[in-house]
Amino acid sequence: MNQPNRCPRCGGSLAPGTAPEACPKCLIGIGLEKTEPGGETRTSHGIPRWNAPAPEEIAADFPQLEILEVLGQGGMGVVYKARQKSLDRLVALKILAVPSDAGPAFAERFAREARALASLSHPSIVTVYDFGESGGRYFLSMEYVDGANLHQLIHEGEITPRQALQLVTQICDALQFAHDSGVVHRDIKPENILVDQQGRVKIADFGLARIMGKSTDELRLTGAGQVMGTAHYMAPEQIEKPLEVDHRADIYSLGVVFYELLTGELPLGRFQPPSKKIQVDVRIDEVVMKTLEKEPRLRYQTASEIKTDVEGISSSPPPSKKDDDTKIYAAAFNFGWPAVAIIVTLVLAALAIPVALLLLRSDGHGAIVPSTESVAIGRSASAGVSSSGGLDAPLIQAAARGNVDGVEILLDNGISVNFQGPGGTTALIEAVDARRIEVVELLLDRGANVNAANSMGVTPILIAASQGNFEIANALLDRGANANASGPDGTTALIQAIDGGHDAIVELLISRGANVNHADERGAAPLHLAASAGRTFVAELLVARGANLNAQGPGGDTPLILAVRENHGKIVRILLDAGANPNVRGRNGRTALELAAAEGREQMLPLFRKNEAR
Amino acid sequence: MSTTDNTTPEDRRHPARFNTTRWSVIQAAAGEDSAAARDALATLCESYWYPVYAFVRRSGCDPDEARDLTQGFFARLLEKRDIGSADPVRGRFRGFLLGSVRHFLSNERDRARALKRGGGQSPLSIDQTDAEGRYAIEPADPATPETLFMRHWALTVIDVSMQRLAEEYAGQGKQEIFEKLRPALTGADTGTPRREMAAELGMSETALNVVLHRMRRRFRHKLKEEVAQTLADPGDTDDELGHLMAAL
Repeated sequence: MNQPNRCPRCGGSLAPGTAPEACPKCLIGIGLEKTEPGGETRTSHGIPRWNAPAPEEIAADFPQLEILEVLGQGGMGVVYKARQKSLDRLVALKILAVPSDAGPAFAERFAREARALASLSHPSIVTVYDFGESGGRYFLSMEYVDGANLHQLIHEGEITPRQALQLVTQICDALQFAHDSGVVHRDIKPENILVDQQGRVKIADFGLARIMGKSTDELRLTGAGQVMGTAHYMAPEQIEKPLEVDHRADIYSLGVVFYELLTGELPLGRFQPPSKKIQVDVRIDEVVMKTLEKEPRLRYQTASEIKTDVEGISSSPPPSKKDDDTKIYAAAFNFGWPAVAIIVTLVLAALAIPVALLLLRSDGHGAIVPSTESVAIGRSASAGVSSSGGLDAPLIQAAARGNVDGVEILLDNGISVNFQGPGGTTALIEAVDARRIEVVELLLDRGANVNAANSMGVTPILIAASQGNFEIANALLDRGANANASGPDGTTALIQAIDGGHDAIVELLISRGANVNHADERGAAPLHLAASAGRTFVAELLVARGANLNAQGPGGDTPLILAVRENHGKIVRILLDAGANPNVRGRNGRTALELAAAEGREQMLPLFRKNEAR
Repeated sequence: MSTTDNTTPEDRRHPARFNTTRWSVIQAAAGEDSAAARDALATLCESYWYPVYAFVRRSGCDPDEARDLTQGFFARLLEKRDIGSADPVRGRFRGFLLGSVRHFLSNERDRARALKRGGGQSPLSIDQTDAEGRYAIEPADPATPETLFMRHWALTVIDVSMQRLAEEYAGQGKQEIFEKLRPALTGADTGTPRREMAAELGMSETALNVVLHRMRRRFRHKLKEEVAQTLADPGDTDDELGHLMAAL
């Protein structure tokens, strides 16, 4: 009775006679847990969160509802718990993070998509009751699910493999139903998969990504914020073209959720099959792997096939020992190809550098057991040639593939973080190119030179800017990337971002000191690009930051002449209002005004007159 | 149909809870004779008398003396009309109570010990057996009266919150669920497999996970609500919870 009594969970001392489940430290700890209401709290760093209105502020716009509390907030908007007075039922009211002047195109898209969502009626899909616009706010009112989302359940950790399989089959049902109805979710992630207190799945936010999609840039511009934490669940093709994906993108996302439900981890970089991490039928590995195929056509083509396979495995006895071994081998082989690639790289590198041959002889067998690949490389790398030429290429390879563990092991074993490979590329450049933020951050933490360019003069920030990867660009700038470094043909990150239409990055770069007048070798300055491409917001930003209004770009054209030529009236107005000189002659010897008259830009002529009159 | 509601009627009436806490009502009265402030103080004292008792006991009083002094202290406290003005800068009821009892005790000791304390009043229903029963299981560690007061403050917050949670579940006819799941609230291994627990309650394992998740959320809510009641500024709730954690 008097011996020291400790809580097995937190290790804190317990008063004699106190049962571990009544550990006061653990109980107070519940009060200190950071809640993730609705799970939508992950925002990419550096982007301000959308300032969600308090319940009192919206009450007047929704007289039919009694707004009770905020359930969650994220990049898409904010969700309130509310009571629908007439029916005395609870609803979840979602206000989208859209500026009130989002424009008719948004309103039309919103109405079209919301109508499609409201028509989806399935027990495993959160029902949309109503939608519309009120007080300048776009809203959806939906079924209120009093339960938990999968993110919360996974992190509270008590999901058994059996439960995981049951949940996955329910998710498959809902996805199949939606896909049959022509609706793709586009943002399947644990936070969007709710489970009620009867253990039933309810998928939320179907198609919302599409409603919000096109206005992503607009949102960023208005400081509305954008959730970036969901990239881990996106299919590879979705990262490239988020709005042009088909239902197979949902199947990939489901695969990520499936893996996470089973193992509690994300399938990042080189990951092990589920059966290597937890006790589960080895045949499940194949199902998970097939949902996670990078190539859409190699994936499961329908959600119902996944369900059929999972149920088939659940209801039949596990394979015999002999089969089992074959399957394990097959699964291992599946995961093995990157290892083979690395070994091949090693061999090639070794041929070039005879010293390394010695090392490879002792480690050549590493290819047999793929799961130990990175360890094997680590060992060979640490054997004494850490900075001798081609042997460092594995670091670049691992970075390019987003293999965080591999990169870490290589660095731990003395591989130089700044080694330059063929074409002068570096691990950081490859990681940025592959859009792997976690590898980028690791490399920067380990001293990667943030401004090292390849032999063409391409720096990491140039790549991030041209790709429009805000998160990575932000991380690079945070670590001292030179916002004004110039690359091939004198291009800059700012020019790349404008060219690519990545307005949020334009804003970011300017806020970090990018020179708004830095022209490329052809003489094209940011304002020339913005004016000729009709990028109103960027033009405004540049003008406000003191961009040279009358600089003559390629062929001698000023921004004003370019805007007239490309028929961007708004920009003509911005430039004239800011005091641009309409009398400069461009490539055809014409002034902007003469060009406007010659091209028949009737609507622009008054703008010139107005400014003349001033 | 597929949803149940954990919102209490109180929550519905006051979506913006904690705006006025008991302690803020008491402070706002600032010397005025306010019935609301008196009620609020009486309610708080009913909950938090034991930390005071433990403080007095650990200061070297025997059980009888401790009971008399505790009653005397609360009698004077509840009689006073000017708590707000007494120390308006104190943002926390806990700090106020500890400061007051310390002050009270030193004054009492200066007086002749034979004096009848507290005018024979018993403002609180202190059950002597209960008080001593709790004190008897105090670890024989060298805790000072202050650390003992703090520890019991934290334990009292937990007890009161748990009681409120039990009432909420009972009010919804979910007493059995509460009783069965309470041991699993901290996530500690209760010795009963989840599967078995779920079967006993006639629900699936996944449903059990969800129900437990909701129960943790409700407990968190009750804890915060209770802590906020003792603060002038509910914004200090997390900070106060941190202090309580440190005291355990």
